[in-house]
Amino acid sequence: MKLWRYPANWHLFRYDDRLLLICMAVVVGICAGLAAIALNRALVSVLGLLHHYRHLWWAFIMPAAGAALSSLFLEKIVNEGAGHGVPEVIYSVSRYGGLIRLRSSFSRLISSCLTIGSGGSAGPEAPVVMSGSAIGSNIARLFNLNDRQRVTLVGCGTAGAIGAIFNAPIAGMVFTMEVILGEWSAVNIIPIAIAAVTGTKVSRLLQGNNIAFSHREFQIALGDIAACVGLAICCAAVSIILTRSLRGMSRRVAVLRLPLWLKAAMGGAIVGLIGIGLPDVLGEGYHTIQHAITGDFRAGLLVATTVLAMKIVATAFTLGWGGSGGIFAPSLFIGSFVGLAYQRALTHLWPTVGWVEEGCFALLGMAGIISGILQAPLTGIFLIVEITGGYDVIVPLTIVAAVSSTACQYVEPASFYLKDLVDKGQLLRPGTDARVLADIRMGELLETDCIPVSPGMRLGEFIPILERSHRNLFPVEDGKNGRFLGIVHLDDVRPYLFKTPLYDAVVLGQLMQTQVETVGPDDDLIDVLDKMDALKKFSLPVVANQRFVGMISKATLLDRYRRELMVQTRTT
Amino acid sequence: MKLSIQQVADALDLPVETVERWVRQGRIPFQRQQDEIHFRLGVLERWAVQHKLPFHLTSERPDPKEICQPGSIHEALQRGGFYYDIEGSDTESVLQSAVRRLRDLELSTQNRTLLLARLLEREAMASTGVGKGVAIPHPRIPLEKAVPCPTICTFFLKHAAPYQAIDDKPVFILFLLLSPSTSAHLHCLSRLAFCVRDDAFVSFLRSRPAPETLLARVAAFEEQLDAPN
Repeated sequence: MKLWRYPANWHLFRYDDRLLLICMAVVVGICAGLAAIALNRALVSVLGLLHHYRHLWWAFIMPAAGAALSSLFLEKIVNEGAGHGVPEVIYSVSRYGGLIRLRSSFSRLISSCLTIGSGGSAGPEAPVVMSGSAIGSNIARLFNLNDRQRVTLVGCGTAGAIGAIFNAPIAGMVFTMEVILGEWSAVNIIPIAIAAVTGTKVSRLLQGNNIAFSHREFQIALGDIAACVGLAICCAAVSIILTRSLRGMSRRVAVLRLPLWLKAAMGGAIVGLIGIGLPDVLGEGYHTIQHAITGDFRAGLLVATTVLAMKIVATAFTLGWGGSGGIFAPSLFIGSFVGLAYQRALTHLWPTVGWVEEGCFALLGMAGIISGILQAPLTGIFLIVEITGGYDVIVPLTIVAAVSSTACQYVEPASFYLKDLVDKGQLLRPGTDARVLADIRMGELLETDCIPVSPGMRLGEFIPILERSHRNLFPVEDGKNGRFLGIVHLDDVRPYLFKTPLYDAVVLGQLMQTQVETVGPDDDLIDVLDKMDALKKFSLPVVANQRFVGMISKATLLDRYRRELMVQTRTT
Repeated sequence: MKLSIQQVADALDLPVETVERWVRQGRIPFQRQQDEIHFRLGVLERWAVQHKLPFHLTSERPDPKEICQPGSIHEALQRGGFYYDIEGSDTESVLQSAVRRLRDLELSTQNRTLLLARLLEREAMASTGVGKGVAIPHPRIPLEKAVPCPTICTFFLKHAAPYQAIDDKPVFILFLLLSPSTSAHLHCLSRLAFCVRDDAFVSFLRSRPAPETLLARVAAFEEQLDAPN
């Protein structure tokens, strides 16, 4: 055994793994930060390289080629599915203790670089999250850490990556807790905070401490704060449109019987065509967001609304048709234009009121869309505060984020990241019923103290067995091949129990129930419970390969369930 | 103190699979040494308290072997001893002289009085005369700490005495049954009843046999009972 691969055994970390997690968090934070910077730099250079060809008539081919290449790379080379990867990370965290393949640490970086660099409308954040989490997971695996520690390091990877790409450590931390892990615990929060800070520091060392969207201070009046509620409603509406169009597009495209790369290319070409008229919608669009915030986006309300609508369409075509990338940057873009359009509409309606500049509403809109689409209001608030470098908008920001996420929840109970998981019943947040049931295996609940009997056994022979048994159920097995034939219940025997003359006349084969519902040893507990409820049974026989292996009962389940819940959640 | 995974599973009263899963998921504190894992008692006890889990090491539990097993009644008969020529003309006087004669059991005067009171209380409910001249007096509630193991004291009466038995026949022998628990009591009672059901055995008892022959006869019955089927 190589000692260095088992740091949990070192004297320093033996009795408390918090220190171990903190040390690992630094390593994961650095790696995730580097991955984020790598994607950022690669994007800048690809965009720079292709910039010269943007004005040519065939430029619309570029997003098509980029998306097709990215799809081919994912499908043929690394054998991974398209999409942004965040639901996969969440599922792996809740179901497999955060196990993520090593290749995921770079696959999405390359594919999203191809998609976004060529002009596809998507964001680099989700791929970076996937990459950071994969790095965290694989570092945990290298050092033989257990599931709980691995999940923490996956969180560290996410926090480091988001911290680095936005230069926003708190947003990284909050996003991890709110979206990826779904729980706030002291054991997790410290390493994750440290990873977020480390990732951010790496990015500051390599890229300088740049505030992404710096701006002047805004003078916010009471009227502006009141107007925020309207903005929040608009944001919620746009979030729902965005969510639905993305999901609707994916569903429709999934039915098409075409090679994946061809679908991606077709989507990319449409985005490219939109880009000829409105080049602002191409790429991740940070440049345009900056213009919106600083008030340099001069075009009128109509153009702003068109850009907004087209960005939604372009994002749906990029991601829905098989391009690779996230929705974070498009959401920020869309949010800033919702804010911009809203402010212009307000000025139109009440020209005499001295509204705050449109840049402020753009910021609020960004928070509104992020909170709405991710249903993560804290992430929205902290991200905007950090990437714009000021707390002066915190009051309206909080209102917009809270109202928008609440309004979205009314219409779409699950957020964009979680919707697929919820639909498949795979959202297993810590401490929930679904999670506890998913963790307990059937093998742990098997009651094996039943005494098997054979169908040819006489009632007289059965009486001594009845005396010895603690149970009132007896599985009947074929004497020759051991196949499970049915169940003899005490209730079936009771009428004959005191009739001695029948002891030699009746055999168990006459008394047993043959129509017995059974479950398998690998069934999901949640399905088994559903079956019990549907049949109104308190216990069911477990049968594997036509052989009886034991009983499963609600009584044992309650006992184990309760202890599992006590272990999974701290009770003191 | 180091514990193995099996010991921990036993202490938590859970299957080993669950503890193994908790180890894998990092939910239970453990240490790894040369590919083997073990647990520290102190750490684990703190963890159990923190999560309010019941945790009892197997050795801490009362060893079932230490509590006397119900076992065979010929041993119980041996423990109780044999008393001949018990005086008395009715239930109460017979029991009085029987309890007075108890010498093999170390009973305090207080316990002796209590025992008599309990026996009479039981007789008042319904006679323990099971017929054929045999009575099995016993207290309804086991006498706590009076006897560590089931004990049967055999009393042969000087003269058969009326006892309100179910067949109204006078009783010539008493089996005083004392047990530490109800389950042991029922166990001995059912075995004793099995012996007494046999008419040959009852007439053998009427001959006031010596303790050794009586014990040998009971042992033979028990062999018959313990034989498979």
